Amino acid sequence: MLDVQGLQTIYLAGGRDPIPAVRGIDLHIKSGSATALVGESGCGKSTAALSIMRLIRRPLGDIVGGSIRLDDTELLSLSQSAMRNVLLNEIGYVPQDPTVALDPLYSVRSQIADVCPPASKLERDERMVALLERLGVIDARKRLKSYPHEFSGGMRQRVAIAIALAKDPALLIADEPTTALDVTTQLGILRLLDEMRRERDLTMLFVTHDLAVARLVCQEVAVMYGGIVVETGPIGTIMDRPLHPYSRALLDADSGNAEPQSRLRAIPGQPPSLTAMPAGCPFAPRCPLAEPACSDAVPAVEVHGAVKVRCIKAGQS
Amino acid sequence: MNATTTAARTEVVLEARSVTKVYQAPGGGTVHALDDVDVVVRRRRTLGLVGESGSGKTTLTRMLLALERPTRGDVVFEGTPLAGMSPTELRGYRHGVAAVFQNPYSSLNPRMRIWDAITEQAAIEKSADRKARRGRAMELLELVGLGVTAADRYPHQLSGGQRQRIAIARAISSEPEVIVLDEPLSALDVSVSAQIVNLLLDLQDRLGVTYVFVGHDLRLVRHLCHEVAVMYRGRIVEQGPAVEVLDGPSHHYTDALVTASSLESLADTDDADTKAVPPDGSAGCHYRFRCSARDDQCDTVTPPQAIVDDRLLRCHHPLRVVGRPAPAA
Amino acid sequence: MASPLRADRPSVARPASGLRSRLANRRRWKYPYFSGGVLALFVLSGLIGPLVAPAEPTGIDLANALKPPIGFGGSWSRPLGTDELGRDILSRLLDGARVALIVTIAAVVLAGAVGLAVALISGYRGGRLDAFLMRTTDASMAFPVILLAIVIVGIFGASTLNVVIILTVAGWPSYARVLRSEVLRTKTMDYVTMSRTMGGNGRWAVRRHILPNILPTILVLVSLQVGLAIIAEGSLSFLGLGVPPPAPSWGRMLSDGRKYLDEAWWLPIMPGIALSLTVLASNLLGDWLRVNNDPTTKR
Repeated sequence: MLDVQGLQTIYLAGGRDPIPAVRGIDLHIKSGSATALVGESGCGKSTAALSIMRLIRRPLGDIVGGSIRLDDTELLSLSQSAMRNVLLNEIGYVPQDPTVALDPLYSVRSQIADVCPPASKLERDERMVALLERLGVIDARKRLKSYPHEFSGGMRQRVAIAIALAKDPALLIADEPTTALDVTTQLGILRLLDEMRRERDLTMLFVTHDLAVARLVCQEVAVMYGGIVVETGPIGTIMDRPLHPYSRALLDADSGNAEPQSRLRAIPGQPPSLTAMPAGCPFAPRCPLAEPACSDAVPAVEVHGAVKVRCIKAGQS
Repeated sequence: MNATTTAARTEVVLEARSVTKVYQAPGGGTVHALDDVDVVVRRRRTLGLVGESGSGKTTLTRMLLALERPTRGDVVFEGTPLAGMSPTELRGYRHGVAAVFQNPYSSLNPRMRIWDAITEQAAIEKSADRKARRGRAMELLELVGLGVTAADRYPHQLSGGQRQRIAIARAISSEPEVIVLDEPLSALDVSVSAQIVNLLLDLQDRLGVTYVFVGHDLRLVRHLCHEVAVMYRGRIVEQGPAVEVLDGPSHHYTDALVTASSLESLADTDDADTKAVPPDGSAGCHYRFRCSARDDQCDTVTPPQAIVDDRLLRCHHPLRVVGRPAPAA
Repeated sequence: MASPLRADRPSVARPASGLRSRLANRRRWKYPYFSGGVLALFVLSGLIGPLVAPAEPTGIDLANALKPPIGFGGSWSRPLGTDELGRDILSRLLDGARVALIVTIAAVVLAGAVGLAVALISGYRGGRLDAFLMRTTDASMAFPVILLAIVIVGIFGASTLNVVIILTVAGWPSYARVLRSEVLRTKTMDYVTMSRTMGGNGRWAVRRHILPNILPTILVLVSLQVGLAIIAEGSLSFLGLGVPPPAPSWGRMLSDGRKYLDEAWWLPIMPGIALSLTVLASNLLGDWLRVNNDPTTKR
């Protein structure tokens, strides 16, 4: 179970003022279920994921507020070495680009073995082969000795997932794991992640920019914009009836449902940069429903059934 | 099928005829990046090229942009073959066929001001002086929805979406007949790519330009393109009107792509990367290792191009015959 | 509701202050005060040194030999002291700056030109020409400079021109290798491919796209090579292979002054300081140039 409350993360840039990247987000992921963190570039989703793993450290940045509870442990009050222990044993990370995430100098076997629980060499090898076969790697025993560059993109991602799962983690964080892959490979990897979650009762945080992909693997979604979560709840509910104008804009931008050749409902402008964050609601400058009150303060959380949203005009159009 | 249909078809502005491109692999051996590819681009229509990595769609764009010459076959622009074009004709080609690439960060020289980058072609040809080029750049900036203040800026001062607009402005600066766009939206944020989609549609209406749109997102391709050509390992396996092909695929690969892109369910996965790959340049259907309809014929005989009306298909056992679903097996 | 963070961690980062942050932020200095100043001094000395020198650099005055510098018992007429022949050290340093400047600039410019040409041809054309040129570069780099100097000076004698030749031959491979990889990096950029679709040929690509984008690297290389050339010139003179007497050279001043380290320390120390400062300044300038020429790290 992962429970994040009021997480605040900043980036430090030399003599300049600190730059807030995550400005107070809440995430609750029940054990064995998956939540998607959805947003565009600069929204803070990757920073949030790294913060949960406490990989944002001085001098690059710092976590300056909030709490992160993994099961019963408050991660922010752990010492460095205790946190490293948690990362090693409890948290698995699947990266965006497996090409740069795997070390080209080491064989697949040594990279997975690094994170396996201590056991005899033979036992470890058996575990690894079983895991790789389960993940769809053909000829797993032979491929154990291979090097990353000898694999295709999809296979490399399977190896990356193996590394993440070999330690039998409680929490799996996947950061855009299929963005760099072909669409037919993507489906295979997504199915794998879903199966793994069910089989191992994993708690999963799935970072992505694509709501449609998220819907396949996750039960809940948190939509991020400008460092805050603007809407969160069951993914089906939100995609069918988005309450926040930004969620609706994301869905409108998907051409899948529009008439061919028609104009899409596009919002002007681009996502705010971290250094020039608007006051109040970060979406106000682009929002078709914005009014002066929107820029006064970041809207408070309103509850609409199972969905929580930060918008004073939630549900209106 | 009859005279009315033929007359209704708009004229061909650009085509690839039996284009084959073979590269030498570094460790010896060959790579058939393109194998006997026939593609027809019609005026004022958008042709989508879809395919995954290794499909050859990037190589095909390089052929269409005359960046490389085919090993066999040729590219024909407005009736004139590329091979044997005089320098003047080639210049006309470079005016008539423009490009927009995927990466908005590497497609603009970081040390060149925007107005300079947009009108680079005029500078290369020395066809206009600085003043004229600046003026033209301002016009183009307005056409693509950017203010004229962008003219004196440098690329790093603009966002990804703005840079893509600049790339489009540069492409239309020579008033081309055809613009080849290679995954122009893939590197953009979702909310921004919607704006660019609208821009492309607007420009097509206003300027009457033809697009060749290379993409991997079938939802987008179905939305933007009138026609689509599906490529697999260097061959066109299916081509036809976009909505027809994508809503009712005949080739198994098209079907797999459509299912995978629809993101409707996790079932029916192809698990593509777990399957073997045919040796380069061999006969037989390249898709046979992933295909459920595979038989001996598929293993030995390369499926020929079957053309019926405006549909093209390379398959021994299509999912459906044009207009009708395939008879039950 | 949120549990507090550990007490020893501040809740908000303090903005940096003080000398440490200034040093860390030196990349944001708008002008390179120290390095620019020292190098300006160097160039100035080279240009007008003889005019402001207190005395003749080669003026022998045995009565005033081994006079200490100011602050150690000397006088203002000979601010840095005199050497064993009574020659004013400051004047000799200024004159030596001239020699160092000429030799350095010539060598750096020539080596840079050759290296850039090789890099452009090699990187842009590629293929067998590239392979051949790179092997030549490797071979040149492997050849020891001192040996080359001994051979050239042995056959043709010592002269300013020969020093320039030696430094050029020794220096061009570094340019060639670094700039070639820059050319390769730039060549594959989409904007270069773009210019080909617009009808631009190789010369256009090199002139308008590749050169401007490798310019920052060239500037950094040049400033670093200046330092190396000064040291090289100094080393050659130290070994007697450099610019021949009576023209003063910092390196030879160092060499000749060594034996006086105990009784007249200023003889070797002064040229040593001059050499060190100039080289340090050129390295710092190179660093500043690198940061300030990159539009993404500039302020």
